[in-house]
Amino acid sequence: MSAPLVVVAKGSKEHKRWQNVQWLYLAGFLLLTPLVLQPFEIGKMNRALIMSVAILAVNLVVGFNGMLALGHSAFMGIGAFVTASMVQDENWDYWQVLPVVLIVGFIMGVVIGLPALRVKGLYLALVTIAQAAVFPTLVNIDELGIAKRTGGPNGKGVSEEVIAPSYLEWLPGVDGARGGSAYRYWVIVLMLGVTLLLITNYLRSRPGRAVLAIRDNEAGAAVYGVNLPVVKTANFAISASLGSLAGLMWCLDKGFVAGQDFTFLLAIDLIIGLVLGGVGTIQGSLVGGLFVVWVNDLTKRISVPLGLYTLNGDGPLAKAIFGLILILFTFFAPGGIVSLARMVSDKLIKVVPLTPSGVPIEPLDSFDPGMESTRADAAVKLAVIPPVLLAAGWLLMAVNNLIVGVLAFGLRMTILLAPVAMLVGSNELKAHAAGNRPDSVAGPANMARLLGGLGTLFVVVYAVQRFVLTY
Amino acid sequence: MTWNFDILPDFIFNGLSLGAIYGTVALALVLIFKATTLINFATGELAMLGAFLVYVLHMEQGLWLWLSMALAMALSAGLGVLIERSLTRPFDPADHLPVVLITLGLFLIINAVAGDIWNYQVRILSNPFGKFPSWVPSVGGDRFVEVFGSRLKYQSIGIWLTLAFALFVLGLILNRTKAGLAFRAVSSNVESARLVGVHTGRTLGFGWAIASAFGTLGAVLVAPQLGGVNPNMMATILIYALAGAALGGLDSLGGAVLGGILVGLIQAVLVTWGGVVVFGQLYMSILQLAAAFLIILIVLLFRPSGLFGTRRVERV
Repeated sequence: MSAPLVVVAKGSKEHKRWQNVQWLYLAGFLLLTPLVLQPFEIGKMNRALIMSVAILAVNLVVGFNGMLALGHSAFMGIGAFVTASMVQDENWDYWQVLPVVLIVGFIMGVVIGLPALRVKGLYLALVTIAQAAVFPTLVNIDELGIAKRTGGPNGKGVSEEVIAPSYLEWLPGVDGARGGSAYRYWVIVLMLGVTLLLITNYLRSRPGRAVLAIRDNEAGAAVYGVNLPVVKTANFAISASLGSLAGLMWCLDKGFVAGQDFTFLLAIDLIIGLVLGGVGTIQGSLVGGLFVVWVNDLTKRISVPLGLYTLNGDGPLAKAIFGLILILFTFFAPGGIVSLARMVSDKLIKVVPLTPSGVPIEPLDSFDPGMESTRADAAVKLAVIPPVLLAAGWLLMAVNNLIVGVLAFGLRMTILLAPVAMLVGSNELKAHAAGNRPDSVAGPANMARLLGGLGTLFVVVYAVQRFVLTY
Repeated sequence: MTWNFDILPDFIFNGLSLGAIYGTVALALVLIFKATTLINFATGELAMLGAFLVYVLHMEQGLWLWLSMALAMALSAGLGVLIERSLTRPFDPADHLPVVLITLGLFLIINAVAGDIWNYQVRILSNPFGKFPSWVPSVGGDRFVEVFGSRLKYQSIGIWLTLAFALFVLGLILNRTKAGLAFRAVSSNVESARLVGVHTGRTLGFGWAIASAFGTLGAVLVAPQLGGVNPNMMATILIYALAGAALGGLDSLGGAVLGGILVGLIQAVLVTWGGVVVFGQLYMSILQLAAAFLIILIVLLFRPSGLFGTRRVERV
C-alpha cells in the first residue's frame, strides 16, 4: 500500500488549496458545458441534470430512509403534466406553477406512501411498482377532462418557450440561435443547485436525522421517540415533491410531455442511476444522472452498427447493458461510482483531521513511505503522462483522423491531473525547505511543479481561447 | 343506466379464467416470498421466457404442445435454480435492496435478450385447448358450452382444470415429499430449519424451481388471450398478480390463488361490466390496471396482511 500522494492537515493552507482546486473543477465544468458543447449536446446535459434531480428524489427514500421506491416516474409525470396544463391552458408562468407542482407532488406522496409505510416490509415497493405501471394508462382517460388536459395518447406540447430576458444574455453560451438550450441549462443548474442545498440541509436537520436513524435501525429509532409512519411518509412525500419538480424541469426543457415518456422503464432508469452513482450519497445522484443519459445515448448510436434489433433507433441494448450494470454493481461495487472515485482520491490525497487544540491527530510525516520519498517522483509521472499522450495524439492525428479520441483523452487527463501534480510538487518542496525531506526530493518536486504549472496554464489558455472564440 | 344482467355471466366466466392465470403467477410470487420475504420482480420475465421456450419447442421444432410445455417448465425450473444459486444466495436475505436490484437487473436482461431474439412482435402460439370433442358447439371458431344462457368457453374450462391439477400436484409435493417438508420448514422459520439440519440454500433453490415452473404455466395459458407471445406480454399481468398476492396475503399459497381469481373477477365484473352499465361503453377497461393499483392500496390500508396471510409480529 503506497502512501497517498498528498498528505494535508484539515483546514491547513494546502487543504484549502485542494478544496479550491475542486471548486475550480466544478466551476470549469459548469462554465465550459454550454460553451464547448453543441446545442443538441447541451439538451442532453439538461436531461441528465433533470434525471439527477429525480434520482436524488429516489435516493431520499431508498438511500437515506432504506425504503424501496420504484415508481418515481409517475411523480415526474404528474409534475410534468400539471406544468404543461397550467402553462399551456391557463397561461401561467413556469415560476407560478412551481409551488403548485411541489404541493401536488407532496399530496400524491402522502396518498400513496401512507398506506404502505404504516406497515413494515416490502410493501412500498409493491405499491410504487404498480403506480409506475398504472400512470401511463391514467393519462389517456377521457372522463373528467383528463385527456383534454394531458393531450391523451398524442401528448401535449407547450408553445411557451423559456427565453433569456435581455439582462441575462451575458450568461455563457446564451446568445443568438444556439442560446435557447444554453439558457435552459442555466435555469436548470440554478434549480439543481438550490435543490442540493435544501436537501443537504434537510438531511442535517432534526427530521433528516430521524430519517437516517430509521434506515440504520428502525426499532432503535422508534425507541428514541421517532414516529415511524409520520417521518417515513413525510420523507416519501418530500421525495415525491422533488420528483414532481423534476417533471416540471422536464416540461420546461422539452416543451412536450406524453404519457409514454413516464413509463416503468423511466422508473427503472432512475433506480439504475441511483445504483450506478452510489446509494445514499448526494454526489452519487449527480453522477448517476449523467451516466444514465450517456449510456442511453451511446447504446442508441452503437445498436445499428452492431446489427441489433432497433425500432426508431431505440433497441433492447440499453436495457441489457443496464441490467448487467445493475447486477455487476450490486455484486462488485455496491457503493457505486462514488465509492470507486473515493478509492482513487484516497490514493491522491489524505486529509488528516485535527485535535481540538489544532494539531493533526497523527503527525503528517508518519505517512511518508521512507527517507527516499517517492511522492515527488510520482508527481513528475503524473505531470508527464498527459502531455506525452497529447503529443502522441497529435502525431497520430496527422496519420489518421480516427485517433482524434486520443487527443481528447490527453486533454482531459491534463485538465484532471495537472493541478494535482503542481500541488504535490509545491508540497514536497515546502517540506524540503523545512528540512523534512532529503535533497534528492528537490529536483523531482521542482520538475513536477513546473510541468503541472505548464499543464494548468495550457488548460487555462485553452479555456480562455474557447471563451473568446464563442463570444 | 341499464342493468344488463344477460351479459353478466360472460364477464364472470371471463374474469374467472383470467383470474386463474393471475393466481398462477401470484403463486409463483408467493412461493418465493414465503421462503425469502422477497418479491421477485423478474417473475413475469422468467414466465415470458418459458412461454417462448414453448414457442420454440412447439411451433419451431414441432414437438407435441403438452410435451413442450412440460419441457419448458422443467427448463425454466432449472433456470430458477441457477439464478437462486448464482445471483441471490450470496446476499443477506434480511437486506432487501441488493436482491431486489438483482431481480430488476434480471427483468431488464431477460426482456432485452428476448427482444433481440424475437423482436417485440406478437408471435402466435397454439392454444393448449384448441382441439375439441365433437359435441362441443362452436361459433366462429370459439368453442363453448352453454351455461345460464351464456357461453362458457371450452378454453376457460381447460384453464381451470389445468390449474386445479397443478395445484393438486403442488399440494402433493409440499405435503408428501421430503423436499416439500423442508420447504415448509424453511418458510416458517429459517433459523430453526437450519438448526435441525435442513439445507436452506438447496430448499430455496427448490422454491425458485417450482415458482419458475408455475410462472411458465401461467404465461402459456395466458398467451392465447393476448393473441400470442411477445417479450412484453407479462408486464401488466405481473401487476395483476402482485395485486392478487397482496389481496390474498403475501405468505399464503391458497390466498394467492384466491386473490388472483378475485382480482380477475373485480377486473371483469366491477370495472368492465360496471363500465358498460354506467357508461354504456366498453372503454372503461382502461381502468383495469388502475383497479389493481387501488386494490393494493385498499388492502394495505385496511388489512396489510391480506385476506389469508398471517400477521407478522416482530421482536427486537
